[in-house]
Amino acid sequence: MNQLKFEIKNMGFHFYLPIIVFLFVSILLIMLPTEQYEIQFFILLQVLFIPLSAWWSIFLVYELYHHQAEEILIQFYSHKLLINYVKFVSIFLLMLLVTVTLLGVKSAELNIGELFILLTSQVLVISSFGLLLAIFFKSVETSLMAIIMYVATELITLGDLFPWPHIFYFAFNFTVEEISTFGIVSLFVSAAFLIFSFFFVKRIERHII
Amino acid sequence: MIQVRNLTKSYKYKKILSEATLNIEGIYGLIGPNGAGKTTLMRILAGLVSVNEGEILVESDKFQSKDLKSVRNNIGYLPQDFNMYPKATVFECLEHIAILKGLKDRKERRNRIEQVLEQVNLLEATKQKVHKLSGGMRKRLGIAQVFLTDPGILIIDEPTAGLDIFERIRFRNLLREISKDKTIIIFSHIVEDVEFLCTKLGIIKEGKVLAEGTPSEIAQTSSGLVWEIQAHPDHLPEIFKQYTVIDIKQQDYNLLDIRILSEQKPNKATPLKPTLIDGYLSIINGWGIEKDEPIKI
Repeated sequence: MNQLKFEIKNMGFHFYLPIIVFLFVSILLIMLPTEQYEIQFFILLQVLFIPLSAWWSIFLVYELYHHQAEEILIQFYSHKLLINYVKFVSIFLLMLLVTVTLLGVKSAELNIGELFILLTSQVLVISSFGLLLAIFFKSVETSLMAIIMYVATELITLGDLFPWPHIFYFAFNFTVEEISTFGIVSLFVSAAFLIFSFFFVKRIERHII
Repeated sequence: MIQVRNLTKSYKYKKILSEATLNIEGIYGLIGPNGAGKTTLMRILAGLVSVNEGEILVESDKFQSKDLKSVRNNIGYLPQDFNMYPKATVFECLEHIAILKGLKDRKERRNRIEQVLEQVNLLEATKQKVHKLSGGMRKRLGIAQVFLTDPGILIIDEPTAGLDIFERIRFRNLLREISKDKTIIIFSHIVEDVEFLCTKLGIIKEGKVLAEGTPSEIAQTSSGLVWEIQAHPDHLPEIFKQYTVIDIKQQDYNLLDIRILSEQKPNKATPLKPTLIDGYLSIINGWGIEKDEPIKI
């Protein structure tokens, strides 16, 4: 617990941004009539709230690459990194559960379970991908930029134009089978991203020499 | 004693280190110009980077190219900038690093932190935030985090870079104090630092070790090459073109004492006793040494 508190203190303001967005989205969900804005809420959750799961995972390595800690911590940090990742993603999933429950309760047509599986899968993919990018490029800015570009492009083109994997849904046109498959694939993809992150974080030689 | 034998490291087809051989003991300084391969060699010694060829022997144990873990356990490494966890206090920072380094028992860990803080004279700054520490205090904090696990070998990059004169002297004295029972390897391009601190030096250029010896032995390599001439300030541009100027002292308004390095005796020059910087420059310039043979002193 002390270590988590230390990481939070160390992140400073950056830790609170996802929480502020969570509160904002929750207030919107409570205040606005969900029946009229169902699809808007659904999209808002995906393109505004879900990508912030990468925010925390990316800032986990801020110390390593932006305060010249890599050479000192590299020998000890890899195991701790994955534990910290799990801790922060768990906090994010708790917030997600609250927002999904709010949306599900106010909308009779939406299934809370399906929605939670879908959005959790997106959280796992985006957060682990963000972590991998931050470690690979040794840069918080580059990885955040890449995530923002992906989300913005997906939103503008409604996930149609570019020939890369699309993780967002812009209509309620998914089936239980689709979500289950998406969930399983996401688990494997996230695991792969985390394994690569674990592998890369221990290697110093990428851009240094 | 650390023996580095024929270390070769290439990166993207470029040779960074070429058959580097060193015998490291006491307080050892490795100096060389920028791009000489110092950082790469330092990272190899710290167990952070693997090598293509060669071996490192620490005491009687042999560590070869990819066996990094075993090297790391006995080595403490302090990079040039220690600026970690700026929002944390000195104690929190050390406690976090101690946990990462595997000091699990809370009481034992806290005792150890107090011990190392006392050792580096930072006890009064325990509750101070890292970003509020002066450059010298941050360096000492860096040493403190290294001492948490009491390594036998200490690698320090540019020990006095960015420090003011008082902090520089204080940090140098601290290193002198802790060097009694440790091997300390200092990487620097500030010759005065290594002259003050080191008992033995290595000079590296373009990935090759050019010379190794005590500071006075290195200085002696420029014996017969160091001269002093007196000249009017107006003649300086011409002198710069002809000679390697090491130092200029204003004697009076119209006269300068100019210390130069030259293979030929300049006109009206008087010979001077060589210093480490003279030796270093003459070795770097390749004067008085065989091109492909490191000087064995």
